[in-house]
Amino acid sequence: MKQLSIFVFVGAAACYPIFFRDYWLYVAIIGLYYAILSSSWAMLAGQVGIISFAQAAFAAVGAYTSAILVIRLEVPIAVGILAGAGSAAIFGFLIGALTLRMRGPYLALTTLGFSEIFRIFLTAEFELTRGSYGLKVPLLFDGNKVYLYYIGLGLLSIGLLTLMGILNSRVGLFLQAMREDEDGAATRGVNTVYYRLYAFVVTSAFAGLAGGYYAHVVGLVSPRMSLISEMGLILAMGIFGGLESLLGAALGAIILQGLTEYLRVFEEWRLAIFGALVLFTLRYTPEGMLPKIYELANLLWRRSLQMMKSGSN
Amino acid sequence: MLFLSQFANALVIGTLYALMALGLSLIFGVLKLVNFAHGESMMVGGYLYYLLATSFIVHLLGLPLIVALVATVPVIFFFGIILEKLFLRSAYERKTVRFDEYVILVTFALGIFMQNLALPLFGPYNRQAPAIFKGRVRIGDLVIAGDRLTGAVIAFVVIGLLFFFLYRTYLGKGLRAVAQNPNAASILGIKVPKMRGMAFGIGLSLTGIAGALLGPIFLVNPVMGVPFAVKAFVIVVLGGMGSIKGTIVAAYILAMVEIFGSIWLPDPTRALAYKDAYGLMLLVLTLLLRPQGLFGEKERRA
Amino acid sequence: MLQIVGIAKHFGGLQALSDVTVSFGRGEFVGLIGPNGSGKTTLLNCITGIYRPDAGAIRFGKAELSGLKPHKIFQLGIGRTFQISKVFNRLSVKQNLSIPALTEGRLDREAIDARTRDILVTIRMEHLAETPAESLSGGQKKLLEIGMIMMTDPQFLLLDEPFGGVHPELKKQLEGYLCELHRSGKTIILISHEMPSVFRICERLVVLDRGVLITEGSPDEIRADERVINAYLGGNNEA
Repeated sequence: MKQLSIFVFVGAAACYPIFFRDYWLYVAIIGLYYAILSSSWAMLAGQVGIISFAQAAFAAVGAYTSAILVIRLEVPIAVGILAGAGSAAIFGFLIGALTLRMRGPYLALTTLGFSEIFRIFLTAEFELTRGSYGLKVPLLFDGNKVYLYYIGLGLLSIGLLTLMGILNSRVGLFLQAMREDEDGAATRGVNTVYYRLYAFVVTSAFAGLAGGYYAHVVGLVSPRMSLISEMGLILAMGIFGGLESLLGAALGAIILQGLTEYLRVFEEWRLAIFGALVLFTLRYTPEGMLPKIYELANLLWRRSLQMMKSGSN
Repeated sequence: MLFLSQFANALVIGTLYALMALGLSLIFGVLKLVNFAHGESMMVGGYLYYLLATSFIVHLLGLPLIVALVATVPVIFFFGIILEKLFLRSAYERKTVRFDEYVILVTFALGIFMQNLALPLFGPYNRQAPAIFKGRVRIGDLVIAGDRLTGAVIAFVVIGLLFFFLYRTYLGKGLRAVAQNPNAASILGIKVPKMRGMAFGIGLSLTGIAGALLGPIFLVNPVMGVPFAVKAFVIVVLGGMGSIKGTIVAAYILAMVEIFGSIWLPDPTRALAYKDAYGLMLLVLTLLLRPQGLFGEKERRA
Repeated sequence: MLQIVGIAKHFGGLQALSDVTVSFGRGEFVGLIGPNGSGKTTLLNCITGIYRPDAGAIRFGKAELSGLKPHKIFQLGIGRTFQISKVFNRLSVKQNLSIPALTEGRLDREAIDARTRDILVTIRMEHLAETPAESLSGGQKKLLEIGMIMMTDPQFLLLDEPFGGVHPELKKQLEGYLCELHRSGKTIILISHEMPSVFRICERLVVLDRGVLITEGSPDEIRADERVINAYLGGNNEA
């Protein structure tokens, strides 16, 4: 995982609005939202080894926190979004604390449970959230798509650089050691409780940040954000892009989001196609489809270079 | 009087819940994995029964609806065998792939896939599958809905058959052997991979039958499995993962909690909205306080 | 240095340890032996904080160990290896070695790298520095665990079956390291079924059977002790 790749990516992505406007710019903006969710989820699942189904719910926490603060207390949007990240971080801490002794499917089940409980809460507490109607929310910069795009790109970059920084530091090594063998790590001095909570807080904070951003980009927050099928989408993006690579997961999100638009023709079969894609990836290229494609491209490139060399001899 | 009829209701629903959760429990016991596509397996059963029951074959030949129910079983069974071979076999053989993470992701993905396949195929509408027995049944002063009662009776019979299979037949004992110690079972000549496939097939069949029985009561649609999956998870965790006895006991407990719990909350509309949440809270509480459930075993480390 | 008083631990219906009381002095080299299932590993797990004992106390110097988290116990200078090697599979040998030093926090990155290189030379695994730990053989994993212990120089070592499944050449090598570590002043508790090695290098033996401490003494005393022989052979002595 190199910092360089991120700069290349950001550089390329920064040029995007030059060529694409309005509709495709909006698609990219939504793609950026998912990219933050996908990469933060991938870090927890791939690097730390914790499969959580609560990522979409954390985004919803961020979105609703920001929405309610901005609407009810007339807080400036930027503050609302940051508060969203903060409240998601708190929830992340709670879930992390609750699941300290849990492993694998038990932990996954608990996060699934939390996700559903939260969604039901959002739907039921009409006074606060207007239930399934959702809350209408003011837009950032009055909805200027170019500004929104760059803000989203900025948030994604901060996310990727932060998470990557963590993974490349000794904390990242500790997290990976915990993934491999938690008791073994603890016996060698890793404070597993602290670092588990650390991982939860950081990844859920970014999910909340993304959620807050989403709220003021779309203009509407609804309990649908916390649906399990939303989580399924994030999962698909992460797996497709590669769990072991943050940038891969982010790219996976953007590509699948783009595919969503291309596949509009197939409208209702889109998600089934994604589902099949994920299953195929899991079964045959579990490290992710993007890394595999990258590998193949590399191979082809080298082969053609060889052929050109031998051709000129 | 109200109490008695609610109690009877809980017994009926509890039996249906038990059937629904046993598939999950069996799969966990033998394959050591939580099938996150459990709800969607029910949905498949629900739709299959609906299609068969409303198809020409049944109408034309005037066959009793129970035939449609029985016909769903082999279909789902083979479906389960194929899925196991396609997606799970490799996880057991390649031990380097991180098993726990892989099976969570792959079963979850399967569930999402099946749900999103059903949506365009059948549309998001609710379908009414014909009940095997309609009307109401009077037992003394009690009145119970006929479709629920027949469902419960059939569920009871199926559970009975399951017990007979597990404890009295060679194949059943083989399954239990694999559940307890796959290596020892393999040495004794039991073909473990085949057993795993069979367990998955049977597990899905049980779930599918439950879906077929619950379909007429609760309506068939692509997302019908979700609330039931949650209940199944609650039941299996509460009863203890891998414990058949525990699953059955927990099924009745959940049914009681749901039916009598609604009476407790003062605000009726809120109570209804949160009804599904009771089970979830019970799930989270169990996982926190007694993760091995009522009858499960505590994990030993290092 | 390490005082274990009245430790008990049960799992479901099984009483793994009952009222175990034993002390280990500074600089001792003690062998912990007993038949399978006698509770040796469980005792180690209680000392290192992986299990919480149901009753009793474990005193290390002035600190009370029972109830402390494993990483805190590590910080006190207690190192441990496992019966079934617990190495970090997808991390490289080098990364595995660096982790205990990183958590200890005493050395900076450069110093840790230097020490890693030294240890790699000592355990003769320089050529495997970048190899993922999962590719190592069983014996190499045991060596790696020893290497990980050497990284932070703990004063107290708990070794669980370090010779398990290791070929004779490597066993000699390991025995050599352990004796050297002992000579440099470390206190070592060794669990092993390799009786020749145990009797050769340990000064004192502690014998467990079915969760109970049945006796302790010098190798010669233990060799002749009827109770120990019975425990291993079960019932009347037929040797």
